[in-house]
Amino acid sequence: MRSSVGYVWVDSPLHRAPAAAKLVGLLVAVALVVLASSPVELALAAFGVAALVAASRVGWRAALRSLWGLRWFLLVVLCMNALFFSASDPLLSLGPVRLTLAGAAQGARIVARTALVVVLGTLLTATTRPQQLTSGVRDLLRPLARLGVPTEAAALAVGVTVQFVPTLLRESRQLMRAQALRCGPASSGGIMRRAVSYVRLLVPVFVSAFRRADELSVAMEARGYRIDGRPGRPGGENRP
Amino acid sequence: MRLTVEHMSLSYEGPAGERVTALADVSLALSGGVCGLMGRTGSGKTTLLEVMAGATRPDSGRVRMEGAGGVGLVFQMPERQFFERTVEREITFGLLARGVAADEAHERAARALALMGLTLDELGARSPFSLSGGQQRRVAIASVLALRPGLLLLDEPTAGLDPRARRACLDAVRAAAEDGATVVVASHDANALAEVADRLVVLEDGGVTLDGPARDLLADAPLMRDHGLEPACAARAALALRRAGLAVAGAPLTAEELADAIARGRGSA
Amino acid sequence: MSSVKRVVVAAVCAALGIVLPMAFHAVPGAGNAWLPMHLPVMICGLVAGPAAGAATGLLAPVLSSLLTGMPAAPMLPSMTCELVVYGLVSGLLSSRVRTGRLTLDLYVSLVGAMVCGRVVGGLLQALIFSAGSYSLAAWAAGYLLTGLPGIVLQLAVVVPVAVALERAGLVEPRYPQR
Repeated sequence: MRSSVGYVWVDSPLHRAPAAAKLVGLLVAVALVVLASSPVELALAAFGVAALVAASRVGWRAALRSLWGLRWFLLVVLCMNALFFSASDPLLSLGPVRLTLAGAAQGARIVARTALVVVLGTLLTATTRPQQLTSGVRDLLRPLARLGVPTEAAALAVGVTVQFVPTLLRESRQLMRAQALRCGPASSGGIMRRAVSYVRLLVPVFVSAFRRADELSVAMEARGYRIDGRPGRPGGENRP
Repeated sequence: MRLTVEHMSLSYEGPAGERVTALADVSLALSGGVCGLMGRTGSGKTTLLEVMAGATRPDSGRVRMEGAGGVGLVFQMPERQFFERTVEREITFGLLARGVAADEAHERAARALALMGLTLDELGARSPFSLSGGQQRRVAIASVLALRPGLLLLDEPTAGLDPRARRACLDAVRAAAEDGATVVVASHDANALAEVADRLVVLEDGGVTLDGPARDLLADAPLMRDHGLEPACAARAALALRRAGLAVAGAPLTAEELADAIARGRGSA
Repeated sequence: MSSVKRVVVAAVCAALGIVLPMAFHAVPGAGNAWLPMHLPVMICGLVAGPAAGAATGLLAPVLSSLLTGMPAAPMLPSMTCELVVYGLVSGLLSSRVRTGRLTLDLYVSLVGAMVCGRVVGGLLQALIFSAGSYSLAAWAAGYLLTGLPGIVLQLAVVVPVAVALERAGLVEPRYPQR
């Protein structure tokens, strides 16, 4: 599964919109999607999301990539609901398994909502660079600073997380592949043996990720970045 | 071990969905000795090594290996793959997994480390993560050497190493070849290859553009430059000196050979 | 560890919490069994402290749900609470437990966090998330049976990783050499 998180370098009204607005917009859109339950509401929601995708100009391929990666999971959810959700009016039944329309409908609702939320999330990262996200989170949280909420730390954390997902995805795939070649694939067999074999795949991944964290924080501090309210300008701007 | 690569081609889908050719109809036959593999970044060196190791399947063509010993592939920056508690466990891991007895594994680990200029007594009980960069690289290479592969493949083994570690690395490459293994070293470092390679293969855009005796090719500074490669330092110096009017005999590849060539040039002047 | 580094570590661990399930899930449900997202949360708490651990516990599931759809929205609140508890408790125990031996400290803190997290998770399910349809049997089935691979994985992986990080000089040593 290719990376599902990544900025898409095109220009569009969504790309140009301020990050804070997009974050709020995302929360509102997700809330609307989650509340939609009738087929009409869901269709409207889907239409709205499709319109956003079109406006963002990132292309359908990029927008649906995460969704494609989820296809088996969504299929399982649909089937589980169709077969186990309800016991009344079964179309077919075999032991505890009862295929019902109500179940299928419920499954379809869940799948639709999940799919729409995922596409919305993808749209956000496709149209917003991590630094912009950081600024957006910082702007939104600023009013809370009076209450002692660590807004700078929160903004930095969100930005760095989003920034590192594609990097760590690529790197951990490489490391796991190289390690599997060197040590053999994670053994089949009992849970114990498999868990222990995952150690050799995961130790290098964590060490490598922490090395990057170390390098980044050293670089930021070297440029005068501080979090704990002491002098120094947040945002990593260069000191004069 | 004898290695034959026949009409190997491989392409994959790039980040923007385009078709990237990694290898284009590559054919090679190797039997013992050290073969240097040079080429710009993206020329296909790493892919070729992986195909030779059986780690990646090509779109077409095949690899044939005859002889004993298995394949050992040392990736770029192999020290990133450490996971064990101690250096000894890190090195013997592969051996024990293959069913080698514990005391023999210990022996082979000690010998492999010695080939890399380190001792098991000194480092065996330490955590591999606590070693210096040069030591880590040498331990990582030793863990592949301990397997005594018939085909040893190394991807940029000297990158980023301090002089002592680099020296140990090149000595070990030569030692492995003398021990009977076929060795392939992919490297940007013409100076390193000048010291150890018998043969040189140059890849450009996935295809083989040069294939011949390492000494002749590496010493030919203009040829190296034509193929976008940095010649060995001594070869560059020889070219510059000749242009400046100094007689330099032969085709020197190392500093010692250059000094010798200048002396001989002077003697015949 | 400086505040900047703590935040960056929490963020990187959150990123791993998003990435590892992707790397693990060849089969849907494998993620549920092995619980790979738990690993960076625990590790972060152990090496960077309770605040960082809790932050990772919050960021990883929320951002993962947004970006990849996993965990699915209905499971998100309970999973987030549980992960926050893991990060918090592993950090708290890690700073208080001093047995003199590195691996023992780490195992005690890890197991303590695992137990607390599952107990709190169970309580939250019983009282809030699945109020009325929850029971001790459900708790045991969820955490001890289907969650068994996850438990084993955490016991196997977390401590070697934390030890490696300390040996590599990437985190503060628990018992600095004299």
